[in-house]
Amino acid sequence: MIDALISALPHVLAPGNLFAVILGTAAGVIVGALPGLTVTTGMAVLIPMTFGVDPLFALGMMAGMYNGGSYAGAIPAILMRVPGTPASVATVMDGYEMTKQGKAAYALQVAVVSGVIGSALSAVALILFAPLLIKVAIQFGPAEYFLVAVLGLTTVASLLGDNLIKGIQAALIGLLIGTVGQDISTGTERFTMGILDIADGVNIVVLLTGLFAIPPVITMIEEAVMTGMPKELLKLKRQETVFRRWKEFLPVWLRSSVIGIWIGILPGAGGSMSCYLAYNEAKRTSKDPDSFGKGNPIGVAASEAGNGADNAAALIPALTLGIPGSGVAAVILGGLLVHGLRPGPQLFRDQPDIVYGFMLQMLLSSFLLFFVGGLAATRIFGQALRLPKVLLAPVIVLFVTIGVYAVNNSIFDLYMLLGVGFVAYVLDKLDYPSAPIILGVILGPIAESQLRLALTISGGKLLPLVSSPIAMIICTLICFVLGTSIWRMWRTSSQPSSESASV
Amino acid sequence: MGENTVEVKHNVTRRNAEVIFSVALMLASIVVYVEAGRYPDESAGYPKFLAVLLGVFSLLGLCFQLLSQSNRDNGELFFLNPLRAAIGFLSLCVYVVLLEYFGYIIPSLLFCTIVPVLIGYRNFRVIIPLAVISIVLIIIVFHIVLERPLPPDVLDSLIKAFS
Repeated sequence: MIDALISALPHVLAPGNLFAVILGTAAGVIVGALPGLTVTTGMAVLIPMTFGVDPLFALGMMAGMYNGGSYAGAIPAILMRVPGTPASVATVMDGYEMTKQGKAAYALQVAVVSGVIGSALSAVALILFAPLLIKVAIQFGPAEYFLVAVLGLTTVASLLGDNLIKGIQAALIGLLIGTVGQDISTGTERFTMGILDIADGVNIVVLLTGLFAIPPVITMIEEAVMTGMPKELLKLKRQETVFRRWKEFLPVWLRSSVIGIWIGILPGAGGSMSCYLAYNEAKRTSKDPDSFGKGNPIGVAASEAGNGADNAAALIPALTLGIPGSGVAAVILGGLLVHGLRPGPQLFRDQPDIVYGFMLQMLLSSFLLFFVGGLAATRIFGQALRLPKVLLAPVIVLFVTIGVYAVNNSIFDLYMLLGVGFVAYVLDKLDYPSAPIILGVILGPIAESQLRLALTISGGKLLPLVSSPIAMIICTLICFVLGTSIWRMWRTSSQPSSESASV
Repeated sequence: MGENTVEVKHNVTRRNAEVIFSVALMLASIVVYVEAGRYPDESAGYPKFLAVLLGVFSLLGLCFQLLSQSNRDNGELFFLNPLRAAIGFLSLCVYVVLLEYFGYIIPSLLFCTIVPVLIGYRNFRVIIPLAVISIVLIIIVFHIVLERPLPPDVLDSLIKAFS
């Protein structure tokens, strides 16, 4: 592992790739700070733009956007009481109170330092744990890979949405899209309707951008917000420094980071859960819990460290097993495939410079956040927040269309983008999670081919597929995840009736 | 007042949209199943299985919508603003069609300037510079620096002159 890291380091520090991380982090700060635009949307715009460039350049931008966007949700949360991303909801509680007390600059500094610490520790966890998990993954045969694909689908389908049925439907839609194109085993063309452009399957770039970039654009047009962030809010002057009180913050940073990393590794749990848990834990262990929600900087620190800590950790199962730990990780998984990088042991064996380089880029971008997300940078990049959202929508479309067109020089892809985008808008409005669709498209063909292979090996018998110890563990995990989801769904649906009963 | 009337008259409730979408998914699963029946057994089994599952879960979703007390129609509307949503959809369609026939520059310029105006933002001092800067930036980064293709453009000679 150390050798691989040392070997990857010069590639990461090459001027072009270094520039990519800086650019990605800056773009992430802008995207994350704009309420209504999520890191996932930014990533969906970015992926087609980076198609065809050097993989480490593209991955550097993705790493930067992930960490930058994840932190920057705190900027409008603190300044405007509007969380820029779902993961910065807990930051609003104390962050905005601090702004009302005239401590906006201090709150932003606490947020950025906590974000840096959380995301850096998370990147360290990625570097340490991913190679360990790969050692387990090496022992997988076709049956285990099939079951891992099923586990990936179950976890994401059940955890990303509040509704288990909608999550499963979304995953099934993705799996069916994954069947479009030529069947590798028989050569039969499935669901292509004679259209040559989809003979090799639906383009993943079109799907990613259609699913994640078009719905926010239409929503922005629908909302028609004519004003941006007021100029006065960006006049930030340096106040007290977080480093003077580091002893007070240190336990919160460490505890929140551990929570964030753990939540990140759990497939599908996502950033908003980690920041809430970290915030609640900080409040629970505080000597003065009543001060939380009234402008306590510890609350901001806990939320932002927890939020940052789940970023790189969510990539641990994604890079090793192809199971993403969050929605953004699912999109990054798609981004890897666009560059011909299929997650798993083979990626670690064949492309160590790229995979370890990407991990180092995650670490690098978390440190860069300190500069790109600092007060001076917030004053500069924050100018983008002054643009009304009504103007941003068409600009996003310009970037998306040119990125999608450039992949295959195909106008057909743009029509496909429209179709996918409109369906995605409906799905979005009806709260169907989009990440399981991408997972279905990615994992579906793996599940199908590995199941066929496993059945061929077992002579068509199903029982040998679940007979190895690893397969049994994966099956138990599948049952656990499904059981938890069903329990959650039952609890959610029974709550209103019990409330009405009490009334 | 007038816009509000449009919103209510031409809007569907969220619950109805849920029901319509579940039915559409069920129909889609039937179409997929029938279409898969035309393929050899080895290729048809997997999509048929998925189509059946999608049909079953769509039916479950539909039943959940119709029977669950927590999903009663509370009048929540599907579109935030149907008129502006239609503008969004149509402008995107027109933009892509124009891209095919006129290339990237002119349709992008039109799209970037007309869409904000249609939805009520008329500060041209911001709209026009933003549109021009975005397009020039995209052409410089994508076409000139990264050497990526642009759709065949009626202004190709102009782009060539600059690159």
